[in-house]
Amino acid sequence: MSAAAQRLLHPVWRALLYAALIAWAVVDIYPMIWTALTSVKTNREYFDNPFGLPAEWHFQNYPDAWSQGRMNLYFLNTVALAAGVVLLSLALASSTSFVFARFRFRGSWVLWTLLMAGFLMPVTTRMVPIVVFMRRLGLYGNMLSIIVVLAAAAVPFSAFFLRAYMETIPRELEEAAIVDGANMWQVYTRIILPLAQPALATLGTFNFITAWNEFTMVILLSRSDSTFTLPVGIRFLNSSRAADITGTAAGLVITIVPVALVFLFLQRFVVKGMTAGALKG
Amino acid sequence: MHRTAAQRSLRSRLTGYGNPLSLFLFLLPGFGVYLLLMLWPSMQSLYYSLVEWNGLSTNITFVGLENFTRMAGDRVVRIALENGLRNLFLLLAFQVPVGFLLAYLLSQQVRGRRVFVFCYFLPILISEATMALLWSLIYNGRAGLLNGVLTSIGLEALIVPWLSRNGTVQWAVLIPGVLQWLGFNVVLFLAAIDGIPQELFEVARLEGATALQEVRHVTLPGVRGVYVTAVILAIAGGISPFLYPFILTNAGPLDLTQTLMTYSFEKIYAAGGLNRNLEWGYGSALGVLHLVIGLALSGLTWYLGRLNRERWQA
Repeated sequence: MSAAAQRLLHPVWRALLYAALIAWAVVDIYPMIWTALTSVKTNREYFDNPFGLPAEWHFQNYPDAWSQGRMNLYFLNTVALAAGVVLLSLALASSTSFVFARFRFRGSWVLWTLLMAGFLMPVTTRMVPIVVFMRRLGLYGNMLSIIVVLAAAAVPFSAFFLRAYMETIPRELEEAAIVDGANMWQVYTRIILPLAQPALATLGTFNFITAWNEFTMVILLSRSDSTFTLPVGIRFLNSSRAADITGTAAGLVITIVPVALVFLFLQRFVVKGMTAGALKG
Repeated sequence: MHRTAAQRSLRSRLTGYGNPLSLFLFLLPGFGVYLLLMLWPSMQSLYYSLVEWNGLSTNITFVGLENFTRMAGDRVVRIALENGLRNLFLLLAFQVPVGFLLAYLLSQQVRGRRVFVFCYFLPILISEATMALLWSLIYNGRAGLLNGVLTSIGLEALIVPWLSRNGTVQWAVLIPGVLQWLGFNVVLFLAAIDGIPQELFEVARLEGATALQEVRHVTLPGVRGVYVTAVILAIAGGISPFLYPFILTNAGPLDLTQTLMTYSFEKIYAAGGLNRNLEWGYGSALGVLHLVIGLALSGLTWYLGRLNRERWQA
């Protein structure tokens, strides 16, 4: 850790400093702990004792949410969607950013600016045309349409991130390969992609979480709940059985835990990916 | 016959490494999909904003600017814009400054810094839809977390129907999003503070600067670029909150928590065929309004940030 703004503080100030930091951590984390505790109570116990530890640990909410609440289907859908978006967006963005990182040609500046304009386009503006387009293709209600739409939405940031990284890769290896007669495809697959692995991993993690959490496009392009993902499907836990607060809490835990685990193990990747655009921009 | 150098170079430009055809083929997948599913739809909505259409029939009527003149007199559009301004106020007056403050505190050689960053950042990674559902449990009137906490510290008097009282609900649906994304600003500012050269702080200390003077003259100027970015991000993303009002109150009661996006979504989304009042033309016009406001505000912030930089350098 760098000692950036280190200053010798009076112990009282230091205690206040920790108090403020801990208070904010509690604001962020306590609701989740409370949700986890709620998920192991019965609804009856919840209303008697909404905040304490459960008198008896009641894990039945989990299998209920998983099978009756269709969380099993939503979970598999979410995995498929996130994996599809990650693979497709990395393939699309890496080949595109390879060109922008290594070549200047007439109009390349214009194309790049058009690509970066994607940062400024709210999803509200493209909802209608995308639904019309997918209906016309006969892909409305198909998971494939959601994957492609989300991958396309991921292209601007992914290309921005990968281009910046690829520009830091030294050119010597490539130049040697070109002299030996390598073509672009060989340079791309054998030199650029292997060397860009750290950036691809960071970006993949970021795109995975974004797709895992997507709501708007999933609900907009779904014909029925057969293509729902966790963030969309979880809403119906409560309406399927009236006021099932503890069952909903179990569903929330099922949705949150995978992302929390990814974060726990890949904290550095995740933070870097999330903040890269803002720090460079 | 010998080819001239010029001929050779033309030939190698057309067939050699990095020739136009292979550049085109490399750009095509990524740029093509982006063009087809991002850029082109965003422009098409300009056309849809000029029509009247229920989204299902083949009957699309061109109505010119009628959707836009209708917006001018639409009470819900005014509410949506007011809620956007409420959110911007919360972001700029609370989220960004508190984010800076927490980052500053974390930069003071804090033990367990990684744990704090984990706690602050975790909410960002959870889908807003999930967090919104969690907040519906927090705001729950019978046994919600918020009312429970208020009761246990003797502040029952403050309890109100959070999600139905006019004047309260408008803020209640915005605050969760402001809190969820605050950690993002913490991490941004923390990285910026870490990037300030250590010597600047040492010089300030040698000259006997107080902690406040140090913040004013070293830390704040050092994070200026990130500050502008944080403000632009807040404005671009903050003018039209969506999932919290949509899930917590379904943009109600009586449209009180509508935003540009919830209103647009309501005009577009069929909800399993239950919504029969679909107006895809009007919904698109609302989307165009969102785009225009977002562009104008981001442009303005960027411009002000640049003006400000010039003044600082002068």
